[in-house]
Amino acid sequence: MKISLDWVKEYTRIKIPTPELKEQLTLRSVEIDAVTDFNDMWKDLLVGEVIAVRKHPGADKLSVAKVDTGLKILDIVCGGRNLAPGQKVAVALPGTILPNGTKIEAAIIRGQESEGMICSSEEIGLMKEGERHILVLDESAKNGVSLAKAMGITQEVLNVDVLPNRPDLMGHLGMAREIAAITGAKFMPDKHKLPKKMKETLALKVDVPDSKLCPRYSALVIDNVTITDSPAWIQNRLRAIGLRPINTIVDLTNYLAADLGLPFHAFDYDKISGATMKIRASLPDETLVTLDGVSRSLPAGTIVIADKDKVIDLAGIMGGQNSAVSQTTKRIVLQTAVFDAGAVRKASRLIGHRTDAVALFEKGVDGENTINALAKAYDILKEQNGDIYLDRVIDEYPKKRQARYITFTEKHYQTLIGEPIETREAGGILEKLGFEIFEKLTSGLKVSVPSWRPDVKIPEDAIEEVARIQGYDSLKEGLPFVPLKLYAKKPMVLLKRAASRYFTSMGFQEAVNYAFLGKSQLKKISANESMHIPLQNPMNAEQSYLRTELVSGLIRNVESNLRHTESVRLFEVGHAFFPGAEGKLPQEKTLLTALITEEAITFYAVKGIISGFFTALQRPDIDFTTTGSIYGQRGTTASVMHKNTQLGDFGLLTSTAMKNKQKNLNTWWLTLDLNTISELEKNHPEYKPLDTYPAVLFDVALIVDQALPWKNIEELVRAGGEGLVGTIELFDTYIGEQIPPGKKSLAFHLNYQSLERTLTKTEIDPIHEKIIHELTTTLHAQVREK
Amino acid sequence: MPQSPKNDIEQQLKTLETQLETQLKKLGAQINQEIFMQLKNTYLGRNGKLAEIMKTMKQAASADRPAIGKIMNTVKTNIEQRIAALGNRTGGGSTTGQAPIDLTAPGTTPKLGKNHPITQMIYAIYDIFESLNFEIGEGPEIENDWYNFDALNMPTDHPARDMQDTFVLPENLLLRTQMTAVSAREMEQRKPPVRIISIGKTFRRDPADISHTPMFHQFDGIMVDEHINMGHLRGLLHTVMERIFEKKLRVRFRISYFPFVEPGAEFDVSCTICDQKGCPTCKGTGWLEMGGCGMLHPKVLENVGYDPMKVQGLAFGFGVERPVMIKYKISDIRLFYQNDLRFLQQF
Ligand SMILES: [Zn+2]
Repeated sequence: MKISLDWVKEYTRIKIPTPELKEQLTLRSVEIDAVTDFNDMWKDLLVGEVIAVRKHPGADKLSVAKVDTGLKILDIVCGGRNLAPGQKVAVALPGTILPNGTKIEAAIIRGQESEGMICSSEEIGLMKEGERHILVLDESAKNGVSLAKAMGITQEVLNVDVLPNRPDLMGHLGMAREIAAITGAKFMPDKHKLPKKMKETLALKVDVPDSKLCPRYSALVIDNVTITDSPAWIQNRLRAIGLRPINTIVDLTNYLAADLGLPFHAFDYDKISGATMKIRASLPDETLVTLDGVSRSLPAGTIVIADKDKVIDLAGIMGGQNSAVSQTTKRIVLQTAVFDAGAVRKASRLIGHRTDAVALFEKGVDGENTINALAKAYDILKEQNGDIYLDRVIDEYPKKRQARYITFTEKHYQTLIGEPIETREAGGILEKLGFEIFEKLTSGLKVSVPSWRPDVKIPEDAIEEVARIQGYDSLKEGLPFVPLKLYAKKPMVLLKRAASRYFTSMGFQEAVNYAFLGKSQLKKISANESMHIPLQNPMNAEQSYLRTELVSGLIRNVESNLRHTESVRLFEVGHAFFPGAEGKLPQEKTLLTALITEEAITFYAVKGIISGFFTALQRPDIDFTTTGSIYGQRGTTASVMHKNTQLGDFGLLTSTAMKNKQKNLNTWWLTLDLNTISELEKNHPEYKPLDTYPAVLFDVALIVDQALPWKNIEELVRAGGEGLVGTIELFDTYIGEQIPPGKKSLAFHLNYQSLERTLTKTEIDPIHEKIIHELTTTLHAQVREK
Repeated sequence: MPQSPKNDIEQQLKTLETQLETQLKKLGAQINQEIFMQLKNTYLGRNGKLAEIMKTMKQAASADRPAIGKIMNTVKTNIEQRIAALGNRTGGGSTTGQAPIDLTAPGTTPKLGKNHPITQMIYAIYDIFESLNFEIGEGPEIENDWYNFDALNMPTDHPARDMQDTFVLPENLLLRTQMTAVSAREMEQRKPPVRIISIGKTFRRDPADISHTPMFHQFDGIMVDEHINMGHLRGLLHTVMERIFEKKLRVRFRISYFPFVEPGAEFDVSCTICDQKGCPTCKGTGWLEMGGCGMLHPKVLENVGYDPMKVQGLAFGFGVERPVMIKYKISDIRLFYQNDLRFLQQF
């Protein structure tokens, strides 16, 4: 929304310099994100008068104009098609830098000297007003006067970022009220009254069967209109706020919308067939060619205005071409109405067309002001078009607005804001903003809320009004006194942090990936897209599903990092998403996945990282079983188990999932289900006395079947040890030439130890022999000579 | 009597071995890079002692040559191993003996991993709020309309729903657009007084550019009690921000509109980069926008089962990326989600 301070000054005096005004508004009312200073922007531009025009001898499309700039008469080559003698134009002298950065220099153009430039509107930072059209100024402009002054744009224009709750700031009148309240200046709104006399010869029946769609419909039927150009002051005000002047009626509707924050529309009365207008929801298959020439099919629920035969207006969005005002229009219906904000917004979204009117309606327009606004419109039109007359006034307003009252108390204010206030002061602020004091209470007020403030509904809203105008900056800071409490920490919060600590200490760098992924990523890890929750409105194909694993994102990260490094350890902690069963909500799991790409990293190293994690968590009672995985190489994958619950899995990625360019690099993944792990009971370690008696040490080497699990050997040794077996430590596994095919050699340290006495060889030898015997008979192990 | 070439060569080789041993014994622990290279050249170099002996092979009878070759190889291997073993003691940046320590030579660093800069900031924020006796809140990333919008005073037709473009999922679900949804869930589980900080991922349908990514992080805090006011909100945020930025700051509240608070404000801190002189990061204003805050709307208190006549609550919701970017002068938010080690390992 653009707000011209020249315009605002019609309603209030601006007592502070613009930079300060900008800051005060930003702090207390509405953010000003930019300020345009036309004085500065146009400082080198001035008014010139075209005295004579002749064809350029060397170029068909160019003319040479003699331009009187007050001090000097210049020859200027110009391509404007509308150039004509007698015009007042905007002249840029050599040396001028235009708003778009172009520097004007004296030049020879096709053999003809040009001592400057006659500007088009777009060349000086305004809206384009026609193909190869120069900007023509009002004939009253004096030669040599600065352009800003001649156009009456001497004050800054503010770019206002109006918050969605403040429809009243969508117009100059409302902004003036706000500025007056902030600066303490007087606010002077204008008053208009419709003529009492009406001709009432032009019939118009307006039918609003459902007042929910259109709570108020107000319009004037005006006769004897002449469509021409608007007066310069209207044109220039519109230009200053970034609009393009069109004609008397279009400019009038745009002017009033920007002035009062109410959307206006004008119909050609004679194009309304049957002299009837019905405001209703659209019927199936209805279409309308709107003012912009686009044929639009209307979604169900669109509010339309229809005459006897056809739809003529997309209410609240845009008018129809079939009822538009044209150069020959004589009689108009000038409307300002209130349409249902929700319906307008929805229709605009479904049609895919957003207009300024939509922006006004969805914030909520002031339905109380329609007749006053139409009166102002009539007065402005009458000024330019003296022989118009009012034929009829239509005002369908079945359910009048109920006054809304709010109670403001000093106590409530102090409780919420933390600062005291006096009722008198608060009342003064509220009155400045248009609230009316309905009743004085002890230490408080009952106020009525102005119709242009639909956002103010509860006492807290009124407190905010007072607090913001007082200035949030005067708030005293403090910290509250509160009862201390020892909060139980969530197991997941603790686990995530412990996991982070462990994996970073193991050399893993944490990554964070998006929660969504695309088909190509799913294909890479052979995942089935139907198992994934689809986004209904993804921004691109690469983000169309929610992830069910963290592996695929990390694979991408590893691949891109391998372009500049040789080995990578990455991990991520994040949610994975699973569709719910029939009628159930989707499930979210917190997973930890790590990827390792290194030379010479083995299954046992990855398994060891996992075991170490559980040791660090003091939850060491885990187990491993073989499982398959869609992205794991056969024979390399395993599950991490606690009893019968799966806690995670790991393995070597298939070459489809992760193609390593270097042959000797492998990529292993490991995934831990933190939800399940966080629910495990912690093992509380119990102190065991340290061994004080020396151990008897044996080294054993066995040749066994490759398929024989180590666990079986360990269990057998311990079972046969008569309680005297201490640690058993596997230190070498070998498969190779010296071993028969299908066999493996396992070497381990076996410690016999007692907590009570020193063991002797004579005591242990028989036990050891018995164990070896058991190994050879039960497990068919062959003892290797040392 | 002159010895045969074979015996002569064997003799020479033996002497050579003894010579090396004697020399090594003399040197003892005084082996450094220089001595090591010297030994290597003397014995194994192209014109070294071993090469010299090998040249004499031609004089031997051809029948003797295989035997001599074998001895020669054994001796050569022995000498090589002896010298190579010395090399191990002088390798890398480490030194033994009397060679001085070179402080400019790199140490051998174990491989270190780090948390993502966003996680680091999240942990820092948790720690600050836990020091202030806040509880940590957590919740789902997939939300329903109630917690993400309705409970927060944003009914279906509310224009504020347009302020955020939402990722929609089947079954009327969505990806949460703000962490206030989690605050609402957590409040509902407790009775006042409550103090909760919730930090996590949020999602909005913004195309990625230097200041937007479709996924980002927010920290959302609430504090509800019988006597909480807006001055407390300002005091709390001021304290916390100074701790986050490890700097004295000026702060300001600016009027704003968020449906779940009333009064509502935008919270700015003085620009840490230019000290309010104006710079591109603060767009010349001297202020950095941190996010929205205010006093919880009575509707929201009601929706989570509290009595707005008895308690008030302060609330704020800020981005996590922004303070990280300001702190480390990172100009492109997308870097956080590209996971390039050259970026991640800087923090
Ligand atoms: Zn700055």
